[in-house]
Amino acid sequence: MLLMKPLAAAAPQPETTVVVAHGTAAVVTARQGQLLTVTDVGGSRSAQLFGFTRADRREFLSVHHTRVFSNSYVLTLGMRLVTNRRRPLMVLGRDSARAHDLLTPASTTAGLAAAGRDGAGCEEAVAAALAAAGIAPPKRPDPINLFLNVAIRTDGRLTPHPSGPAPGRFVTFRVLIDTDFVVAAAATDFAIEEGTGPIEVRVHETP
Amino acid sequence: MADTHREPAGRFVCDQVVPGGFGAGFPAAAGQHVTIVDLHGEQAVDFVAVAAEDPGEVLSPVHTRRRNMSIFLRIGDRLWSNRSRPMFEVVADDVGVHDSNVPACDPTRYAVDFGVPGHRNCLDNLCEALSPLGLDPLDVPEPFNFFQNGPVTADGRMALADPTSRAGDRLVLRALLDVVCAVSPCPQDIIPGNGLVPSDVRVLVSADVPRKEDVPCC
Repeated sequence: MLLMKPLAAAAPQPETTVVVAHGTAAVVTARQGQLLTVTDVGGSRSAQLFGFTRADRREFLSVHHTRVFSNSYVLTLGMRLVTNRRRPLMVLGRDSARAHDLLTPASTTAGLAAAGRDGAGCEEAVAAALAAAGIAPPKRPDPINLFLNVAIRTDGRLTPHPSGPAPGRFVTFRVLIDTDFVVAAAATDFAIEEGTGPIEVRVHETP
Repeated sequence: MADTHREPAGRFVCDQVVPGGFGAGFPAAAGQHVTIVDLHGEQAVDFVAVAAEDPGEVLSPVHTRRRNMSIFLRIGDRLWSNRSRPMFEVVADDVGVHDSNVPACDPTRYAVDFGVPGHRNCLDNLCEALSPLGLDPLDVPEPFNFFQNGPVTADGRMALADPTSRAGDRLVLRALLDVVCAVSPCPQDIIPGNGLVPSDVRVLVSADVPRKEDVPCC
């Protein structure tokens, strides 16, 4: 709940906790003012985050507009994550990991197989979760890659680094637009060690 | 989209000057070379491409960054599609400074960020240039921004700077698939990015890599 001047009595919004198994994705709804917390339970893997506004599926969380909105190649505390229409969708309010990726694409099942990894890719896992939720967005955006540590150098080179283990590492966003989020727990095709533990997604009212 | 045509000398199958702040589309066949010339210098050029056989396969900066493990381009680098096929190769480059990071400026860029609704913008330019394909604006791919200068600071921030390109500088790409391309010399005239004055560029398509002295300047 946000500290708003009272216009009308706000009904409490439902709180939700979903555990996303490796190789799958889940849809969770968060309303304006709620908190969205994504936790890497085992602390050694990444998660992929997408969001589609409930009012208009043509407006969605855009990693590309988020970078240019803040003139930053990296995600930092307090940064606004914006839609493809440059409206703030949420703000990064807490971050125990401090290393995320805004530059690389979602994995695919074929790409993982080529990299010698089993399981569904991010694209396929997200497609299945959206279909199960009856959501058919007109465009599939690129992901926010939470907990994926891809360092960027001043010469533009990108270098993935294994991270953790840091069990329980998490990010918390303050949501500003009613949004259906999709959180995937897919493997990456980077040649780094990564875990296969669950990702916990929580929508809540208080930190 | 401009008709391609063969010049009397047969050197260029497409040769057009694109006014600063406007857009143009053109096809290129696999093996042909696309040359983009910054006619007056300091002009960023948004560039998108789709596969001629399937507009659902598009040139993808995000997949290119992953393949090349860099946000910048060098001669010899390939530019990749969203289906992990190489679409272009960088074969000549007078500048060496390009951006694969910034989305096309669009109506909201000017209306929201600068309070200027109705400004010309790259997204509309690119969408209009690709209109024969009937693309929804959402289906216009993320662009490469050739000659755009987005330095990375030591703490991962994106610095704002004008392009380093000078009059006559060019970038040459070899098409590796049959493609339909669109360019938009960016109309941004409010913040650094085009020297505050959008200016014209030239686009050429040719069988061979044009020598710099053979590229028509203005």
